[in-house]
Amino acid sequence: MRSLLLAALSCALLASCNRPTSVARDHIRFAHAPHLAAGLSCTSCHVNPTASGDVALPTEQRCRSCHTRPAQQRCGFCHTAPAAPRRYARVDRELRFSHALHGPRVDGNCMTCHGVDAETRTVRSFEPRVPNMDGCATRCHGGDMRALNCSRCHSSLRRYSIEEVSTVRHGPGFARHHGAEARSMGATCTQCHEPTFCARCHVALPGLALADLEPMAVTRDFVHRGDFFARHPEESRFNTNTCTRCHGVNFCDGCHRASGIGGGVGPASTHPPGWLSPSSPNNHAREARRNLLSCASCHESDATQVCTPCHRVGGVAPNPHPPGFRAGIEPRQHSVCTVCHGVSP
Amino acid sequence: MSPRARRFARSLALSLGVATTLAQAQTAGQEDAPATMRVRFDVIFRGVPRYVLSAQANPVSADDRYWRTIALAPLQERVNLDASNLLRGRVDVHLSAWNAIDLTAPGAVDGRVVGDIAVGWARYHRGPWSVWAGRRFVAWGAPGGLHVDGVGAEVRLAEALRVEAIAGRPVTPVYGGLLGGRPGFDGATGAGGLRIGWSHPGALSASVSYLEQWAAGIPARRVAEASFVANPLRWLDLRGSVSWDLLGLGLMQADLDASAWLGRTVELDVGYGHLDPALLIPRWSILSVFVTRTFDEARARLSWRIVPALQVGAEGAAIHYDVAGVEASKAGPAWGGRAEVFARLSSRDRRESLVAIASRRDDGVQRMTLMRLAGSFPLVREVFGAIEGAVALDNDDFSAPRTSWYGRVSMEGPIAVGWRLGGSVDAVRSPIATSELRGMLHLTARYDRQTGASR
Repeated sequence: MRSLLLAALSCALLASCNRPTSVARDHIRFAHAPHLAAGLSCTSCHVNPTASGDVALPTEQRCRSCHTRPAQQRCGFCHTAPAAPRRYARVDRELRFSHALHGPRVDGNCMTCHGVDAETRTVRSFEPRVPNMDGCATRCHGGDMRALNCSRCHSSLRRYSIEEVSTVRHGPGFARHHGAEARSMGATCTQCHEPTFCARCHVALPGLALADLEPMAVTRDFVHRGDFFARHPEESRFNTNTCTRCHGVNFCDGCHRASGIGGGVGPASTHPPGWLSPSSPNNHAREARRNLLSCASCHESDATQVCTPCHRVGGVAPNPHPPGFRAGIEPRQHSVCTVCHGVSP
Repeated sequence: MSPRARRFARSLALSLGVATTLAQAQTAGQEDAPATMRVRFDVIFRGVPRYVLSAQANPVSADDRYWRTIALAPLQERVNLDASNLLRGRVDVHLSAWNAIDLTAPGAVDGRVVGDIAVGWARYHRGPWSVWAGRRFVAWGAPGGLHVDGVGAEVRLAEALRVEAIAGRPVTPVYGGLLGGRPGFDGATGAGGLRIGWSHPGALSASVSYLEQWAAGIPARRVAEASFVANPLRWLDLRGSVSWDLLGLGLMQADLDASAWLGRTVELDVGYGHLDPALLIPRWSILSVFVTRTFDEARARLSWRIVPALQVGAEGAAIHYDVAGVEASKAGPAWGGRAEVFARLSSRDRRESLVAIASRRDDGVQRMTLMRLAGSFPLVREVFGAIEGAVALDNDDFSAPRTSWYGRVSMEGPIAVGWRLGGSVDAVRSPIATSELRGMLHLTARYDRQTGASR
């Protein structure tokens, strides 16, 4: 029995020796406590912050400047696998952090963040820890935690499976002004919101409002809430600016035509009596000046037939150009100009 | 190419090369994020009347027109798929597609089967570079964003500095039927743009962009845009955006908002907005030459979270309308406004919530008051119920012809892992219909999966 155990132990030992070299990964033999006991400070080895504000790990030359004895000059003095030393490249933790900025705030006392609990802190046993998020939040960044300002420290949250958090405040009225955030820091939005999230509202599904897709989310600030379809004539009148930011002038036309609302001026028109009479209070000019987009929603595609017969050069209607108008294109050479102005000789 | 241009191109290429090499070093090791896949599938079956305005053979007045009711019962489906960090973390795929089927719909009015891909694009990223192709919604460039079939590329020159370019063909869906829209490409036929953005959320994020659209042989839109979000103080957020029309040399729209948090329970928002709707009409339309009014709005909003479960607030805005070069008597009222008060109640676990809102708008000619009360709550375990009621008063008159009422009762619960089934019944009184009943069944499936090790 004993020989069997001995054989098994030997096999296990041999097997462990023959495992791939990746198991014998290189490490640096190092302990902070003896160095501190020798009277060194943190900045004796972790020299000046880099240009990015980070603190560099000590270089090999830095170590050799103290460890000068021949035995200490061997690679194996520090490297556990001197035959295959590992590169100690800087690990990108996707954090926005600067030692250079934090140093003065803690009066140069690295232990403020890297220390251990007071009861267990001794020079002999000290090993500095990498601060975790709780430590940051407890000491200084509690406000950021409460405000969910993740991006104050994290350049990316994609490694975390985090839901229901935001790096910007989604307070009341956020739906109205979120465009500035989306344009300026869209990558931050996608930390939590999938790219198709925008399309849910901005690429409208015809006949299917978001309130229908989310019938249980009755307290959310959807723009097209409730029976918006019934209210949309009034809503568009009051908030033309809001409508046109998302919906182009073509948006309304097709649906209005299919519903029989669009169309030209005539007996079957939806326009009130006196629409074309200059002396009528219902004259179209006032409404056009107040809300041209309501005209464009139906007449955008046939404006040359509806508007220009009267508003063209020499027509009975006045010049439609606003003061200081600039076409921005070469005049008299493009069809949009020549409709009224004719072809340049 | 002139020698000067060649030198400039060489310098630019060299700068980009150096910058991307530096960025490559900064982003090394970031591509081992776990692969994730999220899918959502919705099926909605609705019974809803739609209305078509018909005219008699020889109508003599508007009174001779009447609304004809068409009963529709479309089966609508939508699927959303977001797959990220595929193929060693270098490929993302995003898709949102929908369709609607209604075999009972009158084919003469519109099609019986419609559908489209709302967005569908794939992105390949390696180091600081990424390229994408497909149909996508681009948030920057045009007011309201740009829905485009095209390609794009982005490079991260530094940790927070990105340069992005797109080119493609804008998608302008045509809403030609009662059942739904269909894909269309009328209007703008080409677009391209460039954006430079600096993004440091929590401090300052800013972006400048230029977008150009062409159609009918002419530049239809040239827009320069700048936007920013700044957090100069822990309790203060600033944000703004400006869109400048380079064709008409006018300010298309501008917004500037400031949000201040006082003691974490009170938020004050003040803002200013400007819009010139005429500049939103593309240049290929003759209507773009017509004079119209501009909007200038000053707004303020105050909200107070009295206790963690209860938040109340109020908002007010004054709007100034201006028609350049037109005397006031012809331009109509110069001032309008809106006001709103609200209260939100939410339990700690957010399973119960209630909202009450009353808002009023006035454009100097017409007024509307909208009141709304809605809430959701658990009925049994994971089965939830929701109620919603709203009334929109036309000119503060309950009996006015354009006053509308709306009520909805909904219920939803799980039927299997990842699947939820629900139903809603709506009762409506609209300007068109004195009474109307709608029904809706909806089925939702979600699938989330994450693979690989997270660092």
